[in-house]
Amino acid sequence: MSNPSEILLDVNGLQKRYADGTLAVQEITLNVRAREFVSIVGPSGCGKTTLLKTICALLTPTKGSVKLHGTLITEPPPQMVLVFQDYARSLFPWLTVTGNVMFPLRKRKDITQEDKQQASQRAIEAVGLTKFAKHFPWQLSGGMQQRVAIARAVAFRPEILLLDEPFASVDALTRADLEDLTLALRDEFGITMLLVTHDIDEAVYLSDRVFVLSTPPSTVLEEIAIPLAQPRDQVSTRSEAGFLQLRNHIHGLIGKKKDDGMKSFILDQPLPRAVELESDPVS
Amino acid sequence: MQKKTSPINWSGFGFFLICVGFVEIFARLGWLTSYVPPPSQIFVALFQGLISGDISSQIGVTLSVYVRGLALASVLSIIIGILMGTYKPVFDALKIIVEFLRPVPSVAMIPLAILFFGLGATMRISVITYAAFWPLLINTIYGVRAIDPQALDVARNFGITGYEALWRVTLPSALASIATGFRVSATIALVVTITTELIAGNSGIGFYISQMEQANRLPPMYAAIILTGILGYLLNTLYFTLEHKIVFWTPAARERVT
Amino acid sequence: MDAGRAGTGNVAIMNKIFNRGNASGIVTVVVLLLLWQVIASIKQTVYVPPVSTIFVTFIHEWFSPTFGQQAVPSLYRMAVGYFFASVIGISIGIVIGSFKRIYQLLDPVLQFWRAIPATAIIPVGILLIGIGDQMKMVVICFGAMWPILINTADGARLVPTERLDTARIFGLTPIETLLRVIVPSAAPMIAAGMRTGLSIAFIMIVVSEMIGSTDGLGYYILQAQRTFAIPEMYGGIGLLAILGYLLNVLFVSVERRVLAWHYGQSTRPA
Repeated sequence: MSNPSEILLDVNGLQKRYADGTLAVQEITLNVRAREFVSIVGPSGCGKTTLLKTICALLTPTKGSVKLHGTLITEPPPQMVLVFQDYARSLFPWLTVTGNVMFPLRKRKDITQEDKQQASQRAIEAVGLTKFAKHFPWQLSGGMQQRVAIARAVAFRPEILLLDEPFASVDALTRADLEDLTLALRDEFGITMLLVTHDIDEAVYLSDRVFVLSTPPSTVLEEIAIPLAQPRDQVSTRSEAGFLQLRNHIHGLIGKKKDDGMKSFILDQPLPRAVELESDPVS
Repeated sequence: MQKKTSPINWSGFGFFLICVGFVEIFARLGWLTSYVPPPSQIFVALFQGLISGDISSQIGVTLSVYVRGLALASVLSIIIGILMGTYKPVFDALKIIVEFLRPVPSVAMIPLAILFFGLGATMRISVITYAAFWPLLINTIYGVRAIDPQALDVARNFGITGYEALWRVTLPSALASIATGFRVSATIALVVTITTELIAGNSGIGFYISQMEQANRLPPMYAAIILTGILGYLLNTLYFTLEHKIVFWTPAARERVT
Repeated sequence: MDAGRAGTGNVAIMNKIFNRGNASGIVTVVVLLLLWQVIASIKQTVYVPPVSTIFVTFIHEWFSPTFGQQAVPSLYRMAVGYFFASVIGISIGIVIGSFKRIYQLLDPVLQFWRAIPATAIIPVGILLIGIGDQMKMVVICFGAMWPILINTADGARLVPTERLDTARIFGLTPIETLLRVIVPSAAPMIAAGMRTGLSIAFIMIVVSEMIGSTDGLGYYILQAQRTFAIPEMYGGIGLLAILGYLLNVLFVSVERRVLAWHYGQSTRPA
């Protein structure tokens, strides 16, 4: 396990420009320490998904670099897993929950079959879906499906988990459960978390640090430390004075930078699924 | 943000032309069997046939038979389809017949049709009608059945019932399905027209193809075959356009479909 | 839905619609058959023999060596042609669908071949290969291949990006991604294409046997008409109907089993 204060992920001057010239991400510099929970917040359309995909090496940056443990990343590294917002499209409908969770382990020759089964069982337990292990994803609710996606990521034993607005497509109650689940997973498995969200409250609740992005083409407006009490609790943390202060501060940051002067309360609405980017299928 | 791609597929067409070019070269070098003439000859034959009227007259015959068969099939299938879709007793009564007649390939009916109508336009029209009837029937039934019951409730709220409801609510809602069914039926109808002419025709493009094959006049034969493809493509494009214009409100029609 | 592309979404609903209330349906059929019998017996005409005659001829013809001589060759040719159509169609379709560039490049060529009615190719087949089993198999393969190929390509094309990305994240090689992600994702569309291909194969065998053959069901029916063996003709058509129905049932039951996971869903994923 890495040194607690070691920088695990180092993103430096990252820029992503598409083939048609659009600048999605202008310049992003941030870092994540081991076992940290870091959130990235920003207004809609600021290229958050693009950013995550570039960090994960699914997309190649136009400028800048991404380093994991000090090494440059060019291909999606096994220490990093990305959990998508749209779980329905990322899970495999022809596999059961267990099948889905075990899927990434198939390749690994260094673990025995038994260990693989154990790992997947443990992951399924950790997300609370043991009773549904033999179900198919489409038999489950949205929140449960997202858990399957998370379990699948966790079973792979990554060092860092990238989460792309993972709770945006579920209802508020489920969202609270999933938020706490993510925290619990971080504690239980020691996985570092990098979460992208438009929900400022969520970001403040979960994180040790928050990076606030501007409107597109995006840059980092500010890096904010969240010194709230650990362990976090939905009721008590959210009623701390510090909580309100921090969230209002971030609100102000993002609201100020809105180009067309629209109110920032729009941020709190669930976003429609953004039109997919470069790697879209031919339509 | 979507990548801007040119709407015209230059590389694809280029590749197509290159392929044709290769066939041309290979054929002239004698590398291909003598049964595959150079595309240039085929193209010339097509041109000549159209101008001289050899082929164009046959096109007229084929289309005439095609249109009549399709029209008859449409009328019958839409009427019966609406009846079956609206009235459960009718549906139950006819359902098994539909289930058993539907999978019978229309070509199997050709000998039967010859028996009754001899060789000629009527025989072909009957087979075409039989073939084109089923897809449109099924789609009409589906369209009528799948009507959002709320639509009818709203209509009733406004005092629209019975015959008027059928005309003003049921029919437009079912139109999307009917339009699709029509397109499928029309495609089938063309293929069946050509096939019937091939097997037992005395006129039409299919007959022309068979004649040319027997006379060993290959360029005109290939020309006619390609012509059927062109005809099919043009008609299909026509139907797609009509479908999207008539039923412009459905989600499917809102995206561009090739 | 055109002759090349078939969707499975409506099929489930249609099958539900068609599976209830059989009683009055059977009654209707029986009544019609009786009417036929009565009218045909009274008004003796060669063109429409009584149902009883047809029935007797049917039993006599098809529960005899004739089945082996006529029906089996047809089924055999169709099976071989369909098999190759599936193999070629699926393999090429997957490749085309997985690589946008290739799809773009080949699109006009595909559209060209697909637009030509498969039956129009039969005269070419006769010239190039002659009259025989091979010609029929080739022609069947050609005809059935297109819907399979195109539907497979569509299915491969429409695999959600998230799934492909997930495969990359978990370090799958391209081959693994192909076999473990693209093929299962495309399976429903492949099945739809194969079903259309099956009905086309069925049509092609009948037509090819009517145009250029010395045996087979298509030949049998046409010949029966020519020699005015009318009850035999009806019987042959009836057999075709039964075979067509059975093939369809067989296909659907296999499809249901293999794609159980797909039919369990109420909505298809994008």
